[in-house]
Amino acid sequence: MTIDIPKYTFPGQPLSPVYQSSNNKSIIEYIPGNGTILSKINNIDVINSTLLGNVKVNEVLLTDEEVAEKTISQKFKIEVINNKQNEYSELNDNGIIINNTYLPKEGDIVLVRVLKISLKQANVEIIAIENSGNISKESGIGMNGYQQSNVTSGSNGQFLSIINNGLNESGENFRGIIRVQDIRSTEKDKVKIVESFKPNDIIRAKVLSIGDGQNYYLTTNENEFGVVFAKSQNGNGQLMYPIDWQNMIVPSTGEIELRKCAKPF
Amino acid sequence: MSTLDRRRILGPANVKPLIFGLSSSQSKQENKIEEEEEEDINSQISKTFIKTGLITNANGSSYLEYNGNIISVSIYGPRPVRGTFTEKTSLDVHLDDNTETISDLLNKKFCNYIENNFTTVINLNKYPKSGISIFINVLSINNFQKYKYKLLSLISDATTIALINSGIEIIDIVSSTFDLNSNTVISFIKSNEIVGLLSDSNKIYKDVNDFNKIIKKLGNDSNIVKNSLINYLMSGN
Repeated sequence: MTIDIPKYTFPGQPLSPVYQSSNNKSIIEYIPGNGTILSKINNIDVINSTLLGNVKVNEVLLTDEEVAEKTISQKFKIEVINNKQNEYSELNDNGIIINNTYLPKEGDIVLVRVLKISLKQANVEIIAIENSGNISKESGIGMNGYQQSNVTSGSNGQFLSIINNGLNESGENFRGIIRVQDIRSTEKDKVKIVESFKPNDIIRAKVLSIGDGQNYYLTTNENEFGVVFAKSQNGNGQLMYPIDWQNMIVPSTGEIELRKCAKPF
Repeated sequence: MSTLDRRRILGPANVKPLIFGLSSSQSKQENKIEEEEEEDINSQISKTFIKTGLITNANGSSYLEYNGNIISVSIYGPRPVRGTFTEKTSLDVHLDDNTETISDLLNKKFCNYIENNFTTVINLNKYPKSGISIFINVLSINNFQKYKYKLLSLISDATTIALINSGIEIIDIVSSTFDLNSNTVISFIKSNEIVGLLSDSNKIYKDVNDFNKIIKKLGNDSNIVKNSLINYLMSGN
């Protein structure tokens, strides 16, 4: 006998036991995904929901060892997608309202903004996680509607605007570090930070580790990762487009600046 | 929240907010509460009003009204905490009393109660290096001297709903109930596990059985509360 998994659930509701046998006596294993937790009811391992939302069950391919052992025939991952009823909630491609309380994990792809650069590393703030939306809600201080303003002009103006952008105004975002050796996978010793990133660039990067108390550690050492949006002249010029793996150009003026470009998609 | 606001979006620090509606003395109403009604959990539930997601700046929020008690709870987080690496999220609770009825000591007691309740329930391991803040606003109180723990049980229920609204993972719904005779509030999860208990009884219990009876009664009530909370949550779909 199989137990039906509910389609819509609330925190604390048992969704399915870990092992179920189907009609032809083969055993199906369920593994807990996002929004679920493993717990015990009467000494039976059960997957419980921890969120209010829609239940998604996806098949997971068996590993070679599991196929060889022949103990389980199929494996499914149970996830609960938080269904927030709020006008500011955003929809993903599948029309599912996505959860904005998801924090970056190892291997996640994130979009970050460069705050400041030094010889050894670039300090960034994490804006969004790919496929799960903005990292945090702005709480009235205007973090997500961040606009750069130039306080002064002239030769010192550029320098000042870098300092302004270097400080996180609200101090609310999660921060990350891209070390110089994590920027490219080849010729690591020739990489210079100033030739790769500038403050205010938007970078697509991968989370290496959740790091220490202050920062996540990020890397851009694959083709798909690097600068996706950048403006010329330290953010005072126009939007640039990549022309190869290390140059970006302003189409109207022909200015070229060095960057670690992400492979255009 | 960071106090750093160099772009002056929040306005000057000494600014006074506009206050609409009742003044603090007027909101300290003492409507007569029928004691029989305090025994009947079903009639209390039918008089309760809940709404979620009203505060759009917060990650999650709830608003609860029952018999002259008005509570609004907002959840902020998970958001980054500075300092050393922490594997689990930390929880902090703030209670703001607009009616100026709750003493500082009781305020602290209430905050501790809510914090203890929910640290056991939130899936803390999911949110490393971060903190979750719970802000409770008490907008109106009815007969605080006699029903102070009733207010606490309402706060606890409102916090549960706000946490669910925020999308923070919790292992079960916390439902709290109040007993007038013994002046006791107990919070339950999973139908009979107690996560919080606060009692302020003047009378001395005769024996353990006496207290067991109260726990059993409140346990039954909490199941009814839990069911109605679930009904509310599921009807939002």
